[in-house]
Amino acid sequence: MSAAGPPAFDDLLGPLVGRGYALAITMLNDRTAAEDAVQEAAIKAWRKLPTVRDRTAIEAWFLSIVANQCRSIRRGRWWSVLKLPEIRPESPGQDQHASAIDLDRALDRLSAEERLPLLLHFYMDMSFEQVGNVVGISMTAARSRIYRALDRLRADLQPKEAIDNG
Amino acid sequence: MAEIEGEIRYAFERRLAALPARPDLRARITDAVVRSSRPRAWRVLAASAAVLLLGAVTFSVLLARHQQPAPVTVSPMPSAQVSACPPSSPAALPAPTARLGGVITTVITTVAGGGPNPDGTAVNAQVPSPYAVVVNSSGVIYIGDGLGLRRVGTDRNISTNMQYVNSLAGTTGVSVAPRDLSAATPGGQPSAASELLYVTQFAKDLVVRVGGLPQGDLGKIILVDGVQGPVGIVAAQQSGLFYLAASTSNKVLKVTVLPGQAPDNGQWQTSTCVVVQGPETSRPAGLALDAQGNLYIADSGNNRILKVGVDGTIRTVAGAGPAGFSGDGRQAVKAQLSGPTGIAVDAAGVLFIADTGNNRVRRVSSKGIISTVAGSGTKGFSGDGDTAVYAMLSGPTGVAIGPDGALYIADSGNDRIRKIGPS
Repeated sequence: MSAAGPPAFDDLLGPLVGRGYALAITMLNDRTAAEDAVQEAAIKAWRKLPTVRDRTAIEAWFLSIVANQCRSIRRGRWWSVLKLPEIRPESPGQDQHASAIDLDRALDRLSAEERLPLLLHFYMDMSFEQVGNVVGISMTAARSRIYRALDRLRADLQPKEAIDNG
Repeated sequence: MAEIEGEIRYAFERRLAALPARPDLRARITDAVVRSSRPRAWRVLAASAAVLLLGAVTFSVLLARHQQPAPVTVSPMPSAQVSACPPSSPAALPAPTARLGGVITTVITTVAGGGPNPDGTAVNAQVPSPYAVVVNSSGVIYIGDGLGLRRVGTDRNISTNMQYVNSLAGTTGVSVAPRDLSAATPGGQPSAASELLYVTQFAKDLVVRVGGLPQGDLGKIILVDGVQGPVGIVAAQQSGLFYLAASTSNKVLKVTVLPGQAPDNGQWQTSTCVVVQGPETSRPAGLALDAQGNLYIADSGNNRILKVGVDGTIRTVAGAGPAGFSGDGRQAVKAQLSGPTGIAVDAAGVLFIADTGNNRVRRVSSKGIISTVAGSGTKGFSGDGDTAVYAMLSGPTGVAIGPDGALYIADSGNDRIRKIGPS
C-alpha cells in the first residue's frame, strides 16, 4: 500500500497488469489493441474498486473486466473487417519439438473464447471456480468449456498424429 | 500428444515469450489511471468514507463477536491425521521464487558431472549417482553423491577434498543450516566464513554435522536414537533444529541438537519427537520447509507428498496413491506420481517434486495444479540446450532452487546435476 493514505493503483492492481495483458493478447492477437484493452479495463477497475467486497478475489475480478473489455473491442465494427496479424511463438529452432508446433497451430485455430479458459486454467493455474468467475459462467460450465476445448485440440491434432505414425 | 494438458502451459509460455518486452506497460497504465481519476477526486473521498464506515461497522461486529464466548468446535479430522509434534520454524535458507517460464528459461543444461576427471570444473568431474542437491544463498551448490559431499563454487569449480569424500561416502541428504551453532563446534572452530551443513548417510544410518567446507573441518556425528536409513534432512531457521526422514524406520523426526551438552567424543546429543510415522508414511525421503514453517514430506512408498502444517494437520498435497504418471494440468491430489524423492518449495509456495520413477520433475502451483517442468518420461540422457520437458532424465532424486530462481536437479542415473534456467 502507498504511504499516501488511500491505496495506490500500482500497489493494488499494478501487479495484475502483466496477467491482464497476457489475457488480452490471447483474446485479441494484437499488441496495440491488447494494451488499450488493459488500460481501459484498469481505469474501469479502479473506479469500481470501492464496490469490491472480497479483496482476495481481486485478481479474477480484474481479469473479468479485461475479458469484457476485449469482448467489447471484438464486437467493434472495424474488428470484423480488419485482418489481424497472429501472435505466434518465436520461429522454432531445429530442436523444437514437432508436436509443440502442431499444438501452437491448433491453439491458433481455437476461438478467443475457447483459448481464454485454457489460458486461465493451464497457464495461470486458476481453479475451475476462478475460471468461471473470470469468464462469467458457473464452475461446472467452466470445467465443461475447458474439456470441450481440450477435445477440440485433440481432434485437431489427431489426423496429424495418424499421418506421422504412418 | 496423449498428455496434451501438460503441453498447453508451455504452448502459452512460448506464445507470450515471443512478444517484445514491455517493461513500461505497468507504469504507462498506472499513469493513465491516475490521470483519469483526478477529476473524480470526490468519488475517491466518498469511497474512502464508505470504506471507513464499512470498516467501523465490521470492527464493531467483530468486537461484539469476540466478546461472546467462543463456540466449542470439534475437528472432523481423525486423530491419525494430526501430528503430535508439528513443525515450528521455517526453513533456514530462505527459498527464492523459482523463475521458470518462457522459451529461454526452460532450457536444461548440465552444471556438474558427466566428465571423467575428479578435479577441475564441475562439468568435467565425476559425480557418481548424485542423490541430493542444495544451493545456498550465494549460489554455491552442495551435492551428496555416491562418493561423498561435494561443493561447486560460484566459479563452477568443484571441490574434491578426498578425506571428506571418503568419510561421507553415500550422502543421501544435505541441508544448509544457520551458522550460529558453530560457536560450540566440538573438536575445533570452523572458519567464520564456512558453511554449516547437516548431512545424512543412508547406508551408515548416520547424521553428520559438517562445518567448514572446503576448509576441511571433518564431519561430527549427530546421535539420533533409532534412526535407520536417513535420507531427507532440512534445517530450520531456529538454531540447532532440523527435520529428518528416517526412511527405513518409516519416521519423520523433529530433532533438536543440544548445544549445552558437552559432545561425547565429538558426537552431538539430541532430543527428538515424531512428526509422522508409519502407517501414515512409507519410506519418507526428501523434506522441505516453506516460508510459513509448514513441512513437506516426499512420502515415497505411498507415491504422494504430505504437508504437515504448523498446527499439526497432515494432508496430502500431491499424489493419488498408486504409482503411475497422470494428471498434468489437473489437481495434484488426483495426479499420479511414482516414488517421489527430492522436493523443494519456493517462496511463492510452488512445490517441485523429483518424480523419480517417472523420470520427470513435476511442479505443483500454489493453486494445487500439477504440471511437468522437466523430463520427457523416457529414461536416458539427452536434451542439454533444449527445452527441459523434452529432455531425458534418469531417475532424478533431488531438486533445489538457486538464488537466481533456477531449478537444480540431481539427475542420479545420469551422474549429473542439471539446471533449468539462465546459464
